[in-house]
Amino acid sequence: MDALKGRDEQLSAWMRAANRGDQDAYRSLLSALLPILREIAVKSLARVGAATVDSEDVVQEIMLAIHMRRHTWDESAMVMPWVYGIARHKIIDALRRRGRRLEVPLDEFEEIIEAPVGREGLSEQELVRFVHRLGDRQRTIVLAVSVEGLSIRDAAQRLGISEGTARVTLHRGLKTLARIYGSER
Amino acid sequence: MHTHPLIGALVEDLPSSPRRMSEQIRFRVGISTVLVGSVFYGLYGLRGDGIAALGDVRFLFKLSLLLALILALWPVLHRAAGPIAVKPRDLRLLGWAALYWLAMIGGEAMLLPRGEWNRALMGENGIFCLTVMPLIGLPLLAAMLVTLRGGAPEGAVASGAVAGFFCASVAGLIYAVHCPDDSPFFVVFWYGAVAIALTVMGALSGRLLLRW
Repeated sequence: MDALKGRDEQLSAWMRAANRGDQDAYRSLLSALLPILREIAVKSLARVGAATVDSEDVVQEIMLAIHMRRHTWDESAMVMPWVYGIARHKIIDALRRRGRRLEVPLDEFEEIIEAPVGREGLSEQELVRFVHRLGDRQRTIVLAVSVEGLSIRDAAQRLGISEGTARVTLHRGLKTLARIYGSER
Repeated sequence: MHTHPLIGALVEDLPSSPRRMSEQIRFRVGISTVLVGSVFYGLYGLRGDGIAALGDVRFLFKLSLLLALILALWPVLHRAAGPIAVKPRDLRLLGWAALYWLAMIGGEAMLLPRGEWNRALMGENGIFCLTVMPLIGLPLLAAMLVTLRGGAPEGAVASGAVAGFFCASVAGLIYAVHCPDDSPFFVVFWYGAVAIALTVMGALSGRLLLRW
């Protein structure tokens, strides 16, 4: 139980730092959440008999939702219950969009520490598929800073646009993705 | 360790941080209350006895009933904006507020001769209260639903209902400053009817609007 608590405190500290604009802390947070979210997604989908749903897609939807809704976390609380809430919401949502309506119990999430489910690899193809419905410009920026790992400045330079424009385009791209994976039935 | 490429994009987008939800709630509640209150008092004015009402204990008790509700609902409203569902445990403060209401109603029942109960309950402004208070509450509710929509509400119906109840309490407070009917009997009956209506309205519109 102590290991879980220590982990929660570390993650919460990263999230607080991220709220102050610390990008390194944010990267640490998201990287630490990734295997936990994979585990949650795989187990939940298997449990409700939806193992055919691509769990990596669901993981990306959850990550995006965590990002877009990060202002709803109450800094005085632990971050993991909030993460579980978002994850649960997005898993149910993902199932519903694929034509299933099932309850996913939240409580069992809390026992998941971090047990990678046998996949470590870069999920480039999955990301490329995830963003394929974006317009050219938004997709290019999103892929440049994600798959290619460029900074916003380098991506802007390569595309011959200003850094500000690149920043706005990236944000709109993520927002569009959140909409595609959030409200479409 | 490889990380997911999406993380790079999210990290680069970190500076786009939206305003904290708690700030948004404070700001929207503040602005909409001031706006709606100004319009209402501009049209109908304060009570006839104006400042003198502040010396009236019954008037102050009436305000305290509504304030107690607003304070009790404040943390619940924040809960309703986030992905962790509102649980009965979050309603503890509301339980205390309910006890306070019961105490006030009990006190009134003891102090007021039986023969006057009916008059206290019906007051002079029941129908006006019933029409005007929802009109005060609806713009507040609209502002609150827009705010919650930008959050991550878990349980669209419950979150909408919480927003409706909260806005009814604020509308009640705004209206209470105008209304000369101070009996807890009147408040619980007429204000209560409006609160039920706004809560149901919040729940129904939440169902439609608070999906994300």
